[in-house]
Amino acid sequence: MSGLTPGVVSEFWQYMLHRYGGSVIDKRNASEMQLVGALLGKLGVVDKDSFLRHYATTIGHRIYIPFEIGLATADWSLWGQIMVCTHECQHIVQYDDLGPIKFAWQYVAKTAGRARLEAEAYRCQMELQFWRTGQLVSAHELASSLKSYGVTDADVQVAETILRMSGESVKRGAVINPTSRAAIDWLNVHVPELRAKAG
Amino acid sequence: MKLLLAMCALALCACEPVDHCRVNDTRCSGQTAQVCDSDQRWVEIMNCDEVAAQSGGTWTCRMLDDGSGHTCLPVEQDADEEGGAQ
Repeated sequence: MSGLTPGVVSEFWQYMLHRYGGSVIDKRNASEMQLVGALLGKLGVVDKDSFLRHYATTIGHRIYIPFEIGLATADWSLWGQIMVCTHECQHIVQYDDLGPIKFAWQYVAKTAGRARLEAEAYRCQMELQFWRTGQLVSAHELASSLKSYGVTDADVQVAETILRMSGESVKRGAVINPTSRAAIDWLNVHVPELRAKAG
Repeated sequence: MKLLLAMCALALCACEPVDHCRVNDTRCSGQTAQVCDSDQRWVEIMNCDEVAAQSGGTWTCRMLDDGSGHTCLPVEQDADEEGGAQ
């Protein structure tokens, strides 16, 4: 992880939050997240503790995170914090593009909509990981993450197709998500040594 | 009767065309790569013009050579031109 320091991660978050108008809240102490976690637990979507510790959540422009930015843990490496920041900022872009009502309708009421919005956000991980390693993350593996979002098997398959088709473009040099573009541009300037060597 | 027919015609015109597709199929709709979601509706995977704007070069929606789906692919440039890069 040479080059990736707590300070770099903090600066990255500051840059992305400023660019996309986001703010960060500690998820573990947010009463609204305790309520959401309890509700999701009751619905059998995801265990409350797991929701509070293992998932970042974005509502509107507020990003709820279960870690301290720049402090690496077993669950949240520094690179993982870079990727999740980009992923959550992509949700802000979706929220701004669709508007609050359409976004909420698609994300909450429709499993197909939720799967698509998440697949698009998970594409950030694929794009950043490709920038860093020159290797594509498995679309199957990424799409499997959606199983804990209360979507159907068909939704997971569609998400996998979205990610697989995206991967075909990414490995040919595409950067599809605007937040990935912003993140990669920043990383190219500030920690270029992290980037995969060509060839 | 004419009024009834006119109302029916109006009601039909007011509805979006139903374009049920086969779940997980992909296609190109102009410069947009689409997938059929679990609601059997075509939804966007990516727009190739936006990919081009962000990635450089020229990108177009095409089927992959192995026929496994549709996505944005770079248009071959002349040897002395520079393509998209991260």
